[in-house]
Amino acid sequence: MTATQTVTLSDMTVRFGRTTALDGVSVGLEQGVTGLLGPNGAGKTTLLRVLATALAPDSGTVRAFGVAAGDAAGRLALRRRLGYAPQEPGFHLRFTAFEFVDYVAILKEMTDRRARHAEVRRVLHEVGLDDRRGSRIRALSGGMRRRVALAAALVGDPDLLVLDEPTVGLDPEQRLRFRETIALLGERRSVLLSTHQTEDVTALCARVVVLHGGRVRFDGDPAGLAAVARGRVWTSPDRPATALASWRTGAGVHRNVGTAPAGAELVEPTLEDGYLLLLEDAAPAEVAA
Amino acid sequence: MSTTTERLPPGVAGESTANRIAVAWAVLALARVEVVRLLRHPAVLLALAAMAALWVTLRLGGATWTRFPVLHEQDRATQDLALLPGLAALVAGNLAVLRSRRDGTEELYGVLLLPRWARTGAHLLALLPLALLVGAAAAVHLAALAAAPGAVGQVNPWEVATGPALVLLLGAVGVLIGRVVPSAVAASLAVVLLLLAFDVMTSPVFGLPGRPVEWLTLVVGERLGQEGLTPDLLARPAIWHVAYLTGLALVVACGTLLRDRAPRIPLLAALVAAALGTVTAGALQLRPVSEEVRAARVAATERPSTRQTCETAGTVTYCTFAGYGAWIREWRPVVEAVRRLLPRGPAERPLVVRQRMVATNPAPEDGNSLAVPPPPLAAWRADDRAAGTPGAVTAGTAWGSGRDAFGLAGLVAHRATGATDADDVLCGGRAIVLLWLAARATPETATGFVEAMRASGGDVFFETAPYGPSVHVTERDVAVVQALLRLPTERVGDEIRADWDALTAAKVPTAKVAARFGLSAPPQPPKAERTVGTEGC
Repeated sequence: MTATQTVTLSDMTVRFGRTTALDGVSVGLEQGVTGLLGPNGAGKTTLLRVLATALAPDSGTVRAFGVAAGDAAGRLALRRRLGYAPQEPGFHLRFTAFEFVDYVAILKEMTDRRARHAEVRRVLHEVGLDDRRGSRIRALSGGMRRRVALAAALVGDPDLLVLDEPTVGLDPEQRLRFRETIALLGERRSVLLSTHQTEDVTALCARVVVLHGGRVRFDGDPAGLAAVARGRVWTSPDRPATALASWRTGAGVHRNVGTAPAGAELVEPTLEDGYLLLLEDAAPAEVAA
Repeated sequence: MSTTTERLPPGVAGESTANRIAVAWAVLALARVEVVRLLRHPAVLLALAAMAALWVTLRLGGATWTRFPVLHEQDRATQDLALLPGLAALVAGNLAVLRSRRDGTEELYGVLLLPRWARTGAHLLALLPLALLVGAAAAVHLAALAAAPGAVGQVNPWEVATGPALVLLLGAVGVLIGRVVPSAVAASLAVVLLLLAFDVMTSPVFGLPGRPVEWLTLVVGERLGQEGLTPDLLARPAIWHVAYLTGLALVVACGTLLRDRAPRIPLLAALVAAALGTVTAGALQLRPVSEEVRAARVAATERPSTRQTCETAGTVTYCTFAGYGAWIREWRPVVEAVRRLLPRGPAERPLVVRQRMVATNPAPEDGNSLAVPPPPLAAWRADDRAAGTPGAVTAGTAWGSGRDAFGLAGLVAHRATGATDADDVLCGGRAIVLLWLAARATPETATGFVEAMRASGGDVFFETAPYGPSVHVTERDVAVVQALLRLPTERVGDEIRADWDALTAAKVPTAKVAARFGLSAPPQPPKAERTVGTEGC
C-alpha cells in the first residue's frame, strides 16, 4: 500500500465451485476515479462485491483507510465509508425517489430525521433529481433510476464509491451527465468504476485496471493502456486481411488494429485499441473468436 | 456471478456498545418508516375501514346493541373484528419483510450498516402502532356505546386489549413466515389455514366452545349457558389471555430475530422469559372458576334481591343488579302501558319487577350439548318472600329488542291475570287476554309479538331472562289474539276490563272468548298433533 492509496486488495482469490473468478488479484485505489475494464466473466463484479463486503473471498485481504476488513469490525469500518451501487440495483417501485434514498440512509444508521432528510435532498440534488424526488420510482426512466442508485450510494458522503456499470442503458445525454457527476465525486473520493464503456474510462479515469480471466492484465493510466497499441493501429484504403479489427470510418478509409504491415500509415491509438490488443495478447483465441 | 450470495459475510453492526445504541436508534427510525407503510397498506386500510364501517353502520342503523349496549359483552365483541386488522397485519407484515428480496435490494442492504435482524426488528416494531390503533378504535367504539343512554355494565380493559394482542401475534407470524418461507403465497396460505382452523375450533361439533382449552385459541366468545351474566360473575381470564397472546407474539418475534442472527444472549434470555410467561399465562387462563365466583353466581341466581338496588315509581318497584339501573326508564313505559290496559284493581296492585339471571349453568363438557337445568323458581319465590316482594316479575339482563319488550309486557300481563310461575303453558281466556295486552302495550311489544310468532311458527313463547321461565301460548289462541288485534283497541280494551274476572278465570275455553268478541276460534287440533306440553289445552 503506497502512501496515497486508500484501499488495497491483496492477493484476492474467489472461487465459485470449479470456476476461479479472481485469481490472486492485487489492486490499490487512490483518490480519484479508477476504471475497471474487462470482458464479461472477467471477474469485475466479483472484485467489486468483495470490495463492497457483499462477498467474502476465499483468500486475500482488503485494507481500507488503514484498517483490515477481514473481520467484522473491519468490515463495519469499511462499510461506514463505503457507497455501493450494484450492477443491477433493485428498487422499491412504490417508493418515491426520496423515500428510497431515505430508507437507505436509515440503513446507514443516519437516525436524526432532520439531518437525514437534508442529506437525502443533497444527494438527490447532486445527481440532478431535485425535481423528481417526489416521483415514484416506477414512474422514473431507466436513467433516472440509475441516478437514484447513485444517490443512494452517495448518502453519508462516503470516501469510497464502488460503482458497478452505472452507465448501462443510459442514453448519450444521460451518460454525459453521469460522467459529470462521477468526475465531481472523484475530486474528493476514491471511486472504482466498473464499465464496458472505454469512452467513460477515457473521459473520467486517471487510472485503469483491466481484468481478464480473474487476473489483472493492466494497471496504469489510460494513456499507458492506449500505448499498448502504439504502432499497431493504421489506416488503409481497403480492409486488410491481417487486421485483428477493421472498420470503415466516416472519412472513407479503414481504421485497422493489429500487426501493421511495413510502411503502413500509423495513427494515434486510443484506449479502446489498447484494451482490444491487451485482451488479444492475453487470450488470442478468445478475442479472435 | 453477481447473484451469488452463498458467502455473504455476516451482519457486523451491534458488536460494540456504541454500535448497539446506533443500531437501536436506526431500528426505531426504520420502524417509523415501516409504520407509515404498514398503515398505508391496502389490506390494513381495508381491514380498518371494514371494522369502522361495520361499527358506524350498525350504530347509524340503530342496532339494538348500540342503543342498549351491555358493555361487558361488547368489549369482547371487539376481538372478533380485531381479527380483520390482525390478518391484514399478517399479510402486510409478510409482504414488507419480503420487499427487499422481491425488489432485489437485498445485496445493497446487505452492505449497509444496519444488519438484517435489525430490519426484521423494525418490521416487528412497526406492528405496535397498528395494534395501538386497533385498541384505540375499539376504545372509541366502546366509549361511544357507553355514552348511549341505555348503556349498562362495564368495560373490561383486558378484553379490549385482546384485539391489539391479536394484531401483534398475527403480524409477528407474518414477519416470521416472510423470513422462513420467502414467498408471498405462504402468508396467504397461512391466512386461509388460520381461518379454517378458527372455523373448526369454534364449530360446536368439532370445536372447543365451552371447554377450558378454548382459551388456548385466539378469540374466546361467550360461553354457552352463561349468557347475560353481570360483569362481576363473568370470571373470564381476560388478563391472562392477553398475557398469553402477547407472550406468543414475543416468542414468535424473538424466534424470528434469532433466526436472523440477532445478538444471541439477550434474545435467548427474552425468548426464554417470553416462553415461560406464555406457558404460565396459558395455564392460568385454564384454571377453573374460583369457589368465590361460584358462590357469588349461586347467590346472584338464587337470591338476586341480596345483590340489588330498587327504585319505586308509583305502585311499581324495579330492582336491578349494580350497573343496570339505566334500564328502569326503558322498562317503565312497557310496564305502565300494560297496566293502563288493565281494570282498576289489577292496575293498582303493587308490582315488583326484579332482574334475574341464571348464572349456575354448568359449562358443557363437549361442544354439542348443553344440559340446562330448570330455572330455580322455588329459590326465586323464597327470595321474593324474604325480600317482601312476592310474585315479582322477572326482567332479564338483556334489553332493546322487540322480543325483550314483548317478554316483559307478557310477564307483567301474565302476573296481572293471576297466573303463577307454574303456569308456563297457557291457553284459553288467560292466554288470549295476556297476549293481547302484551302485544297492544307499545309499538315495540307489537313488533316483538310478530317476531315471536315468526320465531316459533305459530305458537308464541316469551321470556325475559335467558334460561329463565318462559310462557307458552298455543297457535290456536294466538290466532284469536291476531283477530282481536284487528278490532278497535278501545272496544277490545273496554270489554276486557269489563269482563276481566270472567275472561281471566282458569280454563275459560278459547272458543268462548272468541265468541265473546264475535270471532270464531280455529278448530282444536287433535291431541296427537298438539305441541308438547299443550295437551291439556
